[in-house]
Amino acid sequence: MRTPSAGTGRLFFRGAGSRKRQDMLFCVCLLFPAIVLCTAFILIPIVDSVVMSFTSYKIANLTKNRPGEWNDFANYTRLWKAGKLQSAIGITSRFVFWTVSLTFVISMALALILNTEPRGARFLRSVMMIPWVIPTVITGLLWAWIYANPYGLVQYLVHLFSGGRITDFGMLNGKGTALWGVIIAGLWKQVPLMTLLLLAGMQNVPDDILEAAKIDGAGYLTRLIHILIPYMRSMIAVSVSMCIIENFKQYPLFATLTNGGPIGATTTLAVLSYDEAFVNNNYGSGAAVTTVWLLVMIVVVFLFNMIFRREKQ
Amino acid sequence: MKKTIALLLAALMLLSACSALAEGKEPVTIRFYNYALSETAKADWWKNTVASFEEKNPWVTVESVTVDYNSMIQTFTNDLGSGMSVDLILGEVSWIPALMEGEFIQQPKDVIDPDFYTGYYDYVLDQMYYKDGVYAVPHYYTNSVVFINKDLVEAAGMDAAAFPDTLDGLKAWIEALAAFYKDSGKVSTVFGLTTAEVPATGSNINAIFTAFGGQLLTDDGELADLKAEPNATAMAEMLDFYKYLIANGYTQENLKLKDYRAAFGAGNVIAYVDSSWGYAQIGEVDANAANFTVTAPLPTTMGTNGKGNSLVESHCFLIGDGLSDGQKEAISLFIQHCTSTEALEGYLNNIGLAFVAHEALKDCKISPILEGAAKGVSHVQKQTQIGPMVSVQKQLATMVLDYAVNGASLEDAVNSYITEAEYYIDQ
Repeated sequence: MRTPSAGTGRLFFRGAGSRKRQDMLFCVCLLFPAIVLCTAFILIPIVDSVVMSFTSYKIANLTKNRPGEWNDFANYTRLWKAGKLQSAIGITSRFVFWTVSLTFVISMALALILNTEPRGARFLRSVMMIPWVIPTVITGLLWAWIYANPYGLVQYLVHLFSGGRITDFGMLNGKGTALWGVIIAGLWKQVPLMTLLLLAGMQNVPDDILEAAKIDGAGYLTRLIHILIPYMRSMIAVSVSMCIIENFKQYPLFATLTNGGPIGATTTLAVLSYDEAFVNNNYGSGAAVTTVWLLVMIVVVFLFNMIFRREKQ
Repeated sequence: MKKTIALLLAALMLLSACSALAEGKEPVTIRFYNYALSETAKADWWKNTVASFEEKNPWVTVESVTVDYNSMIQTFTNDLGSGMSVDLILGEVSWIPALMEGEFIQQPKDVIDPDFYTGYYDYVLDQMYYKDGVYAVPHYYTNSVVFINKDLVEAAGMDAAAFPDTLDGLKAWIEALAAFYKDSGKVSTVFGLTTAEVPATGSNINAIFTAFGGQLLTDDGELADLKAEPNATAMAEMLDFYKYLIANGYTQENLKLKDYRAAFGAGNVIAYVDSSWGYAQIGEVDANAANFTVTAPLPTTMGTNGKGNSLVESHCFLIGDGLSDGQKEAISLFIQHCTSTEALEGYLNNIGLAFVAHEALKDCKISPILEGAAKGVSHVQKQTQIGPMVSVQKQLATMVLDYAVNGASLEDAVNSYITEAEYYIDQ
């Protein structure tokens, strides 16, 4: 297909051979800035980080501009033998799975409600945007106060509803509840955006098809499963992919709420990477965690897209 | 207008150069990285101190660089990497290994006037020893201090000045107060010990372990044998004490020092263990907190082996590497200026409560709030510094929570700690 500007572009490459070759040169010219920027700011840092993960790289290497000392897989084996990688991958996966699943379910429900245009829908849509607009660090601090033991709102409610029997419920203090504390804060932050994206997708479903199905006797669930969701497939794919990536790289909520604790119960790959690199000043080890983190994220997003594509076919 | 300003600036520079030359000294600039500048009260004190120093030493310009406490080391790394100099740092003892390994700093004995250097108290200077020498000098220091709400203790018919000096006595003291305030809804914490998994808590727990007679690290910077005596007993007794406090609701698990400071300032905490300068945050909550705050040292008999010893925490000066002779002289003078009674007395009484670390300050008055704790001021145990100190100490909080909250056995909790600590030490 010829682009509108291809003809203009060919003017610059008039003597460069065939028309196809002229088009190709013009394409390369247009892509060149993007290629340079991607290489300089995305590919080189990633490659540098991967190389660093195979070296012993400490502060002095950075300040004195000394190359790291190659140590093969020592950073990886050390992390693996200590069980830190496995634990962090497990916690990250659990966090991503529950946050994404619940975000999707809650957002879908809210989008369906808002799609019926209830009274005050516009106002609700505006109010819903507030959590999304608030910076994540502020969200973390806000929820830290809500969860605070013994003065937080959650503690107060638990005390109230338990008839005064539970007096020291600390959501972020227990090994079994801390991750859920972060998940709830994550949901509060992420549900609004996904709701609006799904609502936008929902409003693009042609009314006549829904009307026709209704006349043919299709119930609400049938219309939802066989018309609404298939029509929204691409919007669902985009919003869920974004949500997966957002939660894989979630760091501010963990940093402000739990800092990886208690007893490592919320040490995700992001937290582990930060601790290794910037708390223990072992940049090589931090880079090793980052590399694994990147690989896990690529695999998960790839699998999600593959499953989604297969279902479409 | 621009020309006038430029001429004025040139005249100013010429004047300062002339006054420096009049003293026969080349003008020098020292870049001083100071996280305290981001805190209003401290920032004012530092600005005045720098100004008075520059007035006395017109050949020196102190270029103060404000940096965030939590990102100091990253800031140094970036600045040095981009060719800027880091000449002087106001930092903490735990930063020494990272800064020394990063080749940021040099030994102060090579910079500071020898007569002044010998005036530092050995037991404070010893804490700044890393590998082959001392790598910082203290501005002031603290050991573990028990902050007590005098009004709450006296309302219970007890004497705040008679803080117990044995572990059993302390438990009886706590139980008496807990019984008195049981249903009052007024007190959230009877005796607070921090257990949140953050660096400040790690160093606080290490100090408590020391008070019980334990020693976490050997003089060679290795993890001490925590299963051999006296460490095994100290560890068991310390963990039992935390369990006793948490299980009975005398302290809350997973609270940070700043949480206790806020609650103490609000009058909800009877007593808790902190560094002396924690009072700054108490005072932010209640400006009149001095009326009800007194301090005490840790009990001198803590369990079987504990002598109530403590570890030193210090805000200290770390001196950058690669200085010119002029800069070395300027830094030596600047540190002496900051460590003078004239400059420091107001600070130690009104801004950051602490103890003095230099004999030149022996006549410097310390805050009346610290009078009680001053009895234990020299109960200090030397601790070797190691690179991963922050993580090794932070894991102590994990161990305490594991044992006291999650029901791990003593053996499992300690074994798990040893595995984690060795992971960081062996990196």
